Amino acid sequence: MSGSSNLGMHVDHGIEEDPEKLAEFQATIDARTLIEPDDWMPAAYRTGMLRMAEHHANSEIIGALPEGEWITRAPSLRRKLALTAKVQDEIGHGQMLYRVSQDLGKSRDQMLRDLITGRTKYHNVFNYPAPTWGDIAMIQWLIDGAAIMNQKTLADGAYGPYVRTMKRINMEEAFHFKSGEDMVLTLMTGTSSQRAMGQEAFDRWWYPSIMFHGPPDKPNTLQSPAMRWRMKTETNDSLRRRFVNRFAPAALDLGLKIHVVTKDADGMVTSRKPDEKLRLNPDSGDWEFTEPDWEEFFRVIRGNGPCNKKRLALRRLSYVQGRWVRNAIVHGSTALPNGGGR
Amino acid sequence: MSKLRQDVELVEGEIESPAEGDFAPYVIFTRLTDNGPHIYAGWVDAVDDAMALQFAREHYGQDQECVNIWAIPQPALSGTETAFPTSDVEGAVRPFEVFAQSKAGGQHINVGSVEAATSADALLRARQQFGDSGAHSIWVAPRDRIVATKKGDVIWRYTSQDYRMARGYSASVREKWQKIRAEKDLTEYERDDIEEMF
Ligand SMILES: [Fe+2]
Ligand SMILES: [Fe+2]
Repeated sequence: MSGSSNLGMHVDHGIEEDPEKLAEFQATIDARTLIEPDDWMPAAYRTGMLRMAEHHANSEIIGALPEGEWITRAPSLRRKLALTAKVQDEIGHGQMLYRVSQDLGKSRDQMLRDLITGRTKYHNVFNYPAPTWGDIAMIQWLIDGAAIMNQKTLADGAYGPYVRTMKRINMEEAFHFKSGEDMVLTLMTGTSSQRAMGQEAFDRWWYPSIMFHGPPDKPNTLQSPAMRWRMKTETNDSLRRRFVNRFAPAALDLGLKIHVVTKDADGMVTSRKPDEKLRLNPDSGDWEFTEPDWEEFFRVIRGNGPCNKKRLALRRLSYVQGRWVRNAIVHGSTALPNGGGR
Repeated sequence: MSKLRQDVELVEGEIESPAEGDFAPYVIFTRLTDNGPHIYAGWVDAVDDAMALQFAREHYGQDQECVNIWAIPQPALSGTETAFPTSDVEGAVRPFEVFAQSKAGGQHINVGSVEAATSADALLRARQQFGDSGAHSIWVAPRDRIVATKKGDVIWRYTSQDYRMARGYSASVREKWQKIRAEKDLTEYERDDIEEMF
């Protein structure tokens, strides 16, 4: 799952680039020739791509945490196998994306440390809780669905290693999405308590999935370096529009109700009412909906979401607990950890 | 579920242990069918050849059916790109495998081999022999540095792996959608019917 859409693309204009090389670089991209690691690239492109791939890698491994917690509680052996495979895939996506990032000049160990100590971020959507199996179903349907949409556009980008990785990842995302759809269908064609579980999970995940594609476009989004250099190939609002057009009618068909909700500090729904703005606009062909609470979005990004601390704590625990394993592999030293350290 | 993982307290601040450094990168090629070439799949990071191969089997052998895997340590690989500077492979004349990428962004595919004593020489010969068709980039690696699964090694599992493939769900998803649609059509029909009657 994941994606990099809520990553701010700060481009450092402090570095003066050779205008001739810069023009040639832009021409290569405009001609849809992919950039390979050894090609000349502006410093801002290198840092931008590194930041994007690193953020994406972080998101893959943090995103697997809430799902991993549910492996032992999966409702059937087949679902357990599938969820195990899914979590393995996501960690694999992280591996591949850290590789892309390493080739852009940062060590993996440094990236893992920066993630744990909060110097770098991961996708906002993983700061929400998954209290029931219904949440696991909705995550795989909505969030992996949103991730496929985003990653398909990223696979059309300009940086060769990232593009190749996206293509490989998208093969696996198809499985995540299909098994998610199957789980949601199972709940929504099931007993009344299964349907209620599906509805409650949907209420928790609908808005985070709408916010998945990042904050609203700014007026100059299309002229931003990220778009000109094809680090991104579609704007947040355009991706969001396609997402809602695809998923709102599907949700209604499933018998789900689309609600505007309020939540408490733990991310649990405290009130809900039907989204009165929800309708298919016959002129544009697009679905209209109530805008997400963007203040909440930025509050969560700043670290004050329901699960920010929990996710980082678990990642840090894994890093510290796994140290003796890494030591054993690298140095053949099997000394057991003393107290784990920090 | 483990309570330990449920209620972990976040320790903030720096990590009080020295930087660990990274494992070494290996490039992975997979052969999808008995008669097909080895095709670039991706990378793994590992401390030695055995770990690289094991990791590659798990990582690249399980998401796509394949019959053979090659893992090549990055220093053994030389390319027409500066990202892979000519490696220090030197010695007796021996076979080098050649991988060609037909256009930028594509996958490197094993197109054959050349005999050479150094990687620079191998690259030169590879370019002469395989570069005519307009390869965008060429990599060479001495065959004796390639770590490979053995013929007959089981990579893809014999049990059904459908649960980890999109295709494993299509029949079930279709059936459930049909059920929902049929019920919906029925309710709409009944509603129309009632409206007509009253
Ligand atoms: Fe993923
Ligand atoms: Fe996924």
